[in-house]
Amino acid sequence: MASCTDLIPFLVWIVPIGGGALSVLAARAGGTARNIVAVVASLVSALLATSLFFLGDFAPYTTTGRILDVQTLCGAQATWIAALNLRAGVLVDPLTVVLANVVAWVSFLIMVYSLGYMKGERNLTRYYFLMDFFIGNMLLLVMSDNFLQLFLGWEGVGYCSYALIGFWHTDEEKYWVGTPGDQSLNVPEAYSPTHAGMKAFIMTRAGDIAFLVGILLIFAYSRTFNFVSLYNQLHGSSNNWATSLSSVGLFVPSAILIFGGAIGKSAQFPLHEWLPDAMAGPTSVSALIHAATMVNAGVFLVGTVGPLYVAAFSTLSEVYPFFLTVAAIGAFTAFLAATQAMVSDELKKVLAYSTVSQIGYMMLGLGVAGLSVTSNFDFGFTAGFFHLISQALFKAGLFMCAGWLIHVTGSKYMSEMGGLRKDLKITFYSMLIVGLSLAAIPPFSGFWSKDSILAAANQAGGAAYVLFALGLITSLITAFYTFRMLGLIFWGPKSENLQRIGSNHVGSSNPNAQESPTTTAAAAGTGSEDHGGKHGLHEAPRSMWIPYSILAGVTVAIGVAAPIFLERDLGDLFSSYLTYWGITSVYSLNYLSDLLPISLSLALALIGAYIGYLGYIKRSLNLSVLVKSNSFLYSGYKFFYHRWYLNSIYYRLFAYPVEKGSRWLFEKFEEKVIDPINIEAPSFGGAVSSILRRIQTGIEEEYIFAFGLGIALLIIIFAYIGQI
Amino acid sequence: MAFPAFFSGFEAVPLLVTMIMAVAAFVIILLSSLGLRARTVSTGISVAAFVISLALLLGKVLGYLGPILGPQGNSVFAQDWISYLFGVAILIVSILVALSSEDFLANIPNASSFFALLIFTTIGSVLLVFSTDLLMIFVAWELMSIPSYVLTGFKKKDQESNEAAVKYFLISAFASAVLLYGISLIYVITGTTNIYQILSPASSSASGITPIAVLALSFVIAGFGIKLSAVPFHMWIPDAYQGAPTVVSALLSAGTKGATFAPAARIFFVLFAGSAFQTDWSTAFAVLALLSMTVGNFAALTQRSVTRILAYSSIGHGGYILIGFAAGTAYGLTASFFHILNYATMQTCAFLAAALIIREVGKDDLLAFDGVGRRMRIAPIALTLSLLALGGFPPLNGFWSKVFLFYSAIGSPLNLGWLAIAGIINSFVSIAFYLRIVKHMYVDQPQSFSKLFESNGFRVALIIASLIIVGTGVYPGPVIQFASTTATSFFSQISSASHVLPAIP
Repeated sequence: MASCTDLIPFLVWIVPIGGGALSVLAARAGGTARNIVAVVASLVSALLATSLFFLGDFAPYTTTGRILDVQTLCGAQATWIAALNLRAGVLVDPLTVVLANVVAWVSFLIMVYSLGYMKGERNLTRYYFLMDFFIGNMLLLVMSDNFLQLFLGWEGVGYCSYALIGFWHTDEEKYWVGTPGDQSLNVPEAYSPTHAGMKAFIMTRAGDIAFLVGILLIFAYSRTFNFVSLYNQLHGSSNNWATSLSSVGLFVPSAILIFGGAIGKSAQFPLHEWLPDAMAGPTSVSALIHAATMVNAGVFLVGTVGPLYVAAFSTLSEVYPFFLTVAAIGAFTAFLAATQAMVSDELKKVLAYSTVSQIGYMMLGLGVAGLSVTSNFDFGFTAGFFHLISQALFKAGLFMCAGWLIHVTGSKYMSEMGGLRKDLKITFYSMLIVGLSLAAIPPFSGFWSKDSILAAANQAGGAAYVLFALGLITSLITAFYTFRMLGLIFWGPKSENLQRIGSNHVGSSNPNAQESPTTTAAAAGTGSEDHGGKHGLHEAPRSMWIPYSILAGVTVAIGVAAPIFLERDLGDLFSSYLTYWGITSVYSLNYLSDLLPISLSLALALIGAYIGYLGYIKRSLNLSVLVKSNSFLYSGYKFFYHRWYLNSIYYRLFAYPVEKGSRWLFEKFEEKVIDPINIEAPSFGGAVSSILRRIQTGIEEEYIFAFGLGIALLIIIFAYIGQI
Repeated sequence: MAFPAFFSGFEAVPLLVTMIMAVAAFVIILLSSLGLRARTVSTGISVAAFVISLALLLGKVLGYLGPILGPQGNSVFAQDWISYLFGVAILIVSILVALSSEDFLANIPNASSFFALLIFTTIGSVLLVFSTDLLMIFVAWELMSIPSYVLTGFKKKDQESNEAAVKYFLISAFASAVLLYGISLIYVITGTTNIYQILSPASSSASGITPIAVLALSFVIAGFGIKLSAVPFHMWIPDAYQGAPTVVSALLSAGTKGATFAPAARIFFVLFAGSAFQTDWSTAFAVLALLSMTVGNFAALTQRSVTRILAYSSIGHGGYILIGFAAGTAYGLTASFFHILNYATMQTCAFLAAALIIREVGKDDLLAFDGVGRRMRIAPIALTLSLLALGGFPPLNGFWSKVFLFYSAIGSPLNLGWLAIAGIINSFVSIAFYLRIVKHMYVDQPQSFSKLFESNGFRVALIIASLIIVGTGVYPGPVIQFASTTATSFFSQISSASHVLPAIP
């Protein structure tokens, strides 16, 4: 039944977009009003998202989901363009509701964090508008019931990501990502915020084009964008879009093209290179967009189309290549990014590489789900999304802690921190908890979610054993780099940089000091009192530490609840969702019967953690000396540090040739061909125009003469041409 | 809604609408002869009459006042979807014009008679779109035209205004004679003046087109062509629009012109459905469309006067609308109706915004528009929006209807792809002069930075029009639905009344 509560799933994403616009207006009344409007909009949207759990016949754990579209919205007709069969709609089902809640609540916490983190910055109206606009678009993406609307949200978040990476568009060196002067293969590896923003935009665009082509291919054969219609068509006749695509050999290509969008957005190999450089944006942006929400959109996309593909064919062989690609790319990316995280000195870059790597795990989970289609689709599916949720929470927490650390120490390098555990108690414990979750140490949430992905990979068998092994190695590396990161920051002696801050309370003079709001505020002459290293190593303001300590608490809570009931219930919820899509299986996770993956992953994580402990916490093992003394290890270090040289190769293969080509086109084509046309075309138009104007004599008799000629023309047409 | 018994068996809405407006006009005249000549009073009365009428029409369209039945027997009025669609368009234009006129007439005497004339023209237009009898069409046509001559010459001390009125009147009188002659020839051939009876089998005994039928068709098209601004019947338009008070130009270019498409659609599609008039009518419309688009858009390129640019733009848009007629399909008519609805708001908004700016800067020269964007708040934005919509930029409403028009030409079984290409080239050319106005307003340096006055009446009108332009552009669904219902129900009327299906699919 249509009722006005049906408006809520629309309001969930309309409210933040409207709130963003409203905050721009509120800015006229002052900065505080603007901040309040922006934060309240995200709170309202989060509350609305939560209310979806209690909305009508949707109650978690019991339902198969409910499909809402505008047709039933309070009885109102809201066809967008009937002639093209385009309708706006939302999908309220377990998947969208759970994800909308994660997105909305994490967003709200980060908005609160922004209040403290961005204090004293200039251009905050732009910042808050873009943040709210991002949240709205992200929720639109999640709630959409069709590809087109999803694509709108998809591009909306892409735009916000670009605009917020380049938020500090003045490009001072302190905002750069990477160490200026770094080069590999003669390609500089330090980027300004605007460069990083454009890089992110262009690279994700490559994936988006593939995505769009994939959508249009499906549309060409189904004449609909709507997920539910697509699913219903599968049951309408045996000659449906999936079989016709398959009969011309385009089914798997179209699926892979759509996956291309996910690769770009979720920074998977081979389009992963934009995410590390996206760290040039404010840390709150990195936490929101490049850790917790937008980068997971690709996983969500695979989770949305995956069940459709499974439902399309009864046999495994048709969809096997797609899921194998997803799983393989996921596992490989997880490994690739983890190796780079081991050697980076920039705190945020470590976290960025680790995000890429963790999303790789999620892709692995969703991919192996489809490899065991008939038996256990929901197992891998649940594992992938459980990891998405837990990663979103702990990674947002890690970034928020990192934001404060970078701010208070005035440096983006971990080597310029050290021994901070006594000075920043709250930050230390919060970061320790979310960090252990990342390292997959029980009982924190990351352990359970990563373990179930590995268990799913193990269950899938066959080719997935290779991926399972790769996942296990990666979990060792993950634990190592997490402990390295924690050790470098919180243990060991204080670095020179910190001693300077601690002793004379004078701000860092490090030329590489990055994104300390102090410097901007001082430069702007607004001279806020409460900033930066000037006042020694002190704890974050409340608006900052409360959000990340909440996330640390949630990480513990999920970690405790997961083995007892949470993971099973999540599995039941997703099974019921998948039942709606015609995939019936009973969620069956049993830790005891699946001891192999759990014990292996725990053992490897502990080994990695132990190496990290020795090297960076106890500091009895000097790894940097070890690496430098061994030429094999050192070349490996170089290889990882330069991102496997992929970044420089991309620049050499794509960026530079395109630049050269467009310069050539400019000189040879634009200046020689287009410009003359630009001059000639208007003068041609002008010539025609002045001839036509000459007809307009202003003499009435001639007007009537023209009228007579017109009648003659009509008579000729009717009497002669018409008769032929 | 319960009507008195007097109205039973009678669809009361058109009667009510004309009565409400007529009463309003007489009240305005009466008050003025009693000495109450305040412009606000006349504006209030006329806007109220238009709004009530619009509400009645919309109530009927949305189904609150009973269903729309279609033509009944051989009455002189039909209450079909076409009447309501055009009625809505006309009243929107009249409301906007009336709102703006309050301030525009500040320095022009006899404001109350202006409003009375405005109402009479509107009554004529509304009657015109409801008429289904050739004679009634002619009477309504004259009722619409005659007050508009006076309105054109309303600035009676102004030579240009007088010249415009005379030019408009002379050529219109000529066209009326030709139209009447065409109507009489149709009567000779078919023995009836009722449009829907022309379709009945008895009226079309002859097969194949006769010389008389050729003359009849040509005369009727030429007669309507004057108001439709189809080239080569367009010559008076730039002179008249430039000379007339600019708000009247808005009325002429959107209101009376839009209204003329209703009888045009009725007569042509019905005539061409009858076997006595079987001919290649599509080519005639296609040629007129091509000429109108090309002449309108190219001639506008080198104009210096903003009103003349808008006048030529109006000619060009008349050409676009004729594309849908030439396509001859229900889809084509949908596109034409859709474009007429959009064009009514776009063109009115453009003319009204230009009217305000021209009055404030004192000249209609492009150079006088320099930097106006910094000197006024609403008018430049409204003008920019409406020009972009006229140029066919998404997501404004003009974009969608142009897409429909060009697509209807491509989809037509009559091989009109070339017409679509011509339309697209013309759209492209038109952007040059639309954007030139925008450039003058926003890029060029003003000679003075003093703020210019914007009255509330103008502001309300421009904001309403801009909201319609943007709103129906972002969400065109209901408008498309309206146009498509109108076109399809009209087509089913023709085919159900005719023994010969029109030469269209």
